[in-house]
Amino acid sequence: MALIQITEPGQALDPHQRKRAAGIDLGTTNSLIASVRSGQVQVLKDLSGVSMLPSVVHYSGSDVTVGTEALPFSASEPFNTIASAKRLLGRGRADLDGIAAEQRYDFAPDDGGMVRLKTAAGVMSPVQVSAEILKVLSDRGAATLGGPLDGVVITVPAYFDDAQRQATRDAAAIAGLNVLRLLNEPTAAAVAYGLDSGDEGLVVIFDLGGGTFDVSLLRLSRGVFEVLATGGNSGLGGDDFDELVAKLVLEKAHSKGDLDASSRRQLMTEARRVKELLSSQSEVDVTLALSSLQWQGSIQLAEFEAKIAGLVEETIKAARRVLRDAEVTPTEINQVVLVGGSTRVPLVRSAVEAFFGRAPLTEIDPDRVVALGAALQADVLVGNKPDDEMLLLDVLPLSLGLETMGGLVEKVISRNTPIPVQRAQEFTTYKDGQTAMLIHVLQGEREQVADCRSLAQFELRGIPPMVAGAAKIQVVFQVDADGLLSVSASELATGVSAAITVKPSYGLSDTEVTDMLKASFAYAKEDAAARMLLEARVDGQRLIDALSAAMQQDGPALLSPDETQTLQLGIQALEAALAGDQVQLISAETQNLSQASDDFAAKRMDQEVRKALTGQSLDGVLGQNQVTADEAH
Amino acid sequence: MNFSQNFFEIFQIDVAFDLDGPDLSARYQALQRRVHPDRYAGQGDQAERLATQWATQVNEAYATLSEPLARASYLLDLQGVVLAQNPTLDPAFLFEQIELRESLDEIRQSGSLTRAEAFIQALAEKQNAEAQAFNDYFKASALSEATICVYRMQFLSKLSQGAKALEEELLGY
Repeated sequence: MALIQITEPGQALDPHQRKRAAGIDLGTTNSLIASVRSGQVQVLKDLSGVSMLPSVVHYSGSDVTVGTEALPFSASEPFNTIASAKRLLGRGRADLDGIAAEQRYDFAPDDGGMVRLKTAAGVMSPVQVSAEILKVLSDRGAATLGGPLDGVVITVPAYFDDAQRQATRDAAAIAGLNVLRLLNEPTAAAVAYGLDSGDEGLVVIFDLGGGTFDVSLLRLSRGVFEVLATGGNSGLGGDDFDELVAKLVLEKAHSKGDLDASSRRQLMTEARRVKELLSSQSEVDVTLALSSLQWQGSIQLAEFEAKIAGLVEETIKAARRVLRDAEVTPTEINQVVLVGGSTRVPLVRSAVEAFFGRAPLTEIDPDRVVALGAALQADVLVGNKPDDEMLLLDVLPLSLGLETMGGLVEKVISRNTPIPVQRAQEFTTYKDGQTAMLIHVLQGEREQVADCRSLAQFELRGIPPMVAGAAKIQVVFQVDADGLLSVSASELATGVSAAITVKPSYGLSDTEVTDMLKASFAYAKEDAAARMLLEARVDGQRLIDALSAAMQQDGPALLSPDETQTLQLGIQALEAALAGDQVQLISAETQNLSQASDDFAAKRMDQEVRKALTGQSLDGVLGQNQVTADEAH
Repeated sequence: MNFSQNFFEIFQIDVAFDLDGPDLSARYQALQRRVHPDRYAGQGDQAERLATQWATQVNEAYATLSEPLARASYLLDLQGVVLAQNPTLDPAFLFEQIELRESLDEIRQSGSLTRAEAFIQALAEKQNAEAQAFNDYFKASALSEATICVYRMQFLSKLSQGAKALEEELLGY
């Protein structure tokens, strides 16, 4: 496959009208931002020319530092220096067994199901920590691209559950980013590899990062990236290899492992160094002179491999399961792509190669490929490439269900169902005169409630009293294109419907997000009012741009002169508001124009759908069938 | 396309049980290219909401038509057949189901992955045969016979799900 080089089509937008879009890989260990500039997708660098931002945040009483500058504090102030926050997103203490979390973080009591960390700047949510990283990247994007970002695509592990996705969204909101889409990391990698090569067929993306593991199977065809199945483990990655190296060192040093936090951090740093060197050499010398551990010796590649063999086997097992879900055998796979820094470990490479019976592709730097793919998708979503045929069709990674009698989970949507999706399930009352029902939403593959992740619980009240079994309670699950779930329930039998919609939100309520948003603006010493004005202007301008383009294209066919005039007046009113600085007026005019254009949007949609399977587009997409039909005549 | 169109109309294909899988996939992708919310990102809430509704509908149609039991049930539904919750079936068929269920329990106790896989394979053949029978009856407009095929497919599908869950368990997933 060729490296990425995208040439802008002839009808490319005027450079001044191009939107500033970026892809962000918010990683466990490192984070990156990339963008398409002058037709080339590239990772954006900071002022000193470095592209990788270590995902480390240091809090002092008065200041926050992120990235390389925060790293030195790891050893001196381990609990004020938060690393691997991604593994904590949407997670409670109970979820974190096995990553030696206690030694790395100073936990405050969980709040709303998510861990909280004690730091010198107060108790922090992993969402806030992630937001600090996103802010630095956002600023870098704005500085490089010449203004605030219009929209970003943020990548998440495909195997992230709803809680983790929602937490990522919340972090972006706190960082003041306009998120166009949450994109699954393996899908992003497939885009980076596949877009330019025109490859067709089945592709496996094997993505082992610092703290998460994903394996996805995609079908590529004419610019469509269709995810057929995905699997993995959102709590398995290179960090675990580091832990095992550290354990090995402790064993060899005959230490019980009772280290102080600072020594522990230094040991982990050394463990990572050893692991990385073992990717290119068979033995690494180690000299540790820590306050609670002194040891000199060496670590052999074979010892390291013996330690990690179990984890590597786990990843292959996940790959086998993904193929099984899609009913595909390893020999049918056309390409295998390695993503994530941890795929540099030789044992991982050889295990993947042995399982699929082919050498995996590694042409694009596995640390950057996800950010590059996200940038390509962001460029399309923001509207810079209106004629682009690229389309990503993704799936739900983990089944969604409801608790039923006896602590069992009834699945409502199974894993690997294409999104967006909506499914309804009917339940009934089990007691005479029952007027309320508890709805418990869960995610996972196991049968028992206790083994699945609890996403939300709410009560449907106001059910008319009836005999047991007479009420019809319909629970509707909707999953949008970001993979985010909303649930509603209503009573159908009597026509008296009581309904409630929940947006599961973990640890953070909407008010909390708003508060953090405000607090974070205060932190950055930015004027919140100025920020709101800026956002309102961006929203308003975006609507004008989109609507004007749509009217130019479809107005004559779909709008009456009156309708055209109404919309034009609306645009003028909004433009007038945009020239001023009243946030409320801009928002109100944006709202008005948006409502006025609803019908037009619906008509355009219908027209698109009609076009899809008729005329030119059918020839294009079903080309081969069409040819066969012609030949038959 | 509108929401009152049936799933076959959405894909502009003939209302039939027999269908060309790769052709359906190609049509699915062609529709998603037009309606997927990614195509309407940043064009306002209304456009994105509509796109999400359409994309959801296209996914639902594709899921229904791709899977034989769902497709067969849907065809009957279009013909106005209401499927019974607890249908009465031929005793011989039911007896066979009981036997199959007992075999599955035995396999569970034996913990043999090979036997579980062979069982799933055997079930798949039965499911194919039943689907073929449905196709013949449905083409001949013999709806009551076709309906019985669907009931049988339901039994087999439930059993197959149980067997696959066992297989996953034995694989250690």
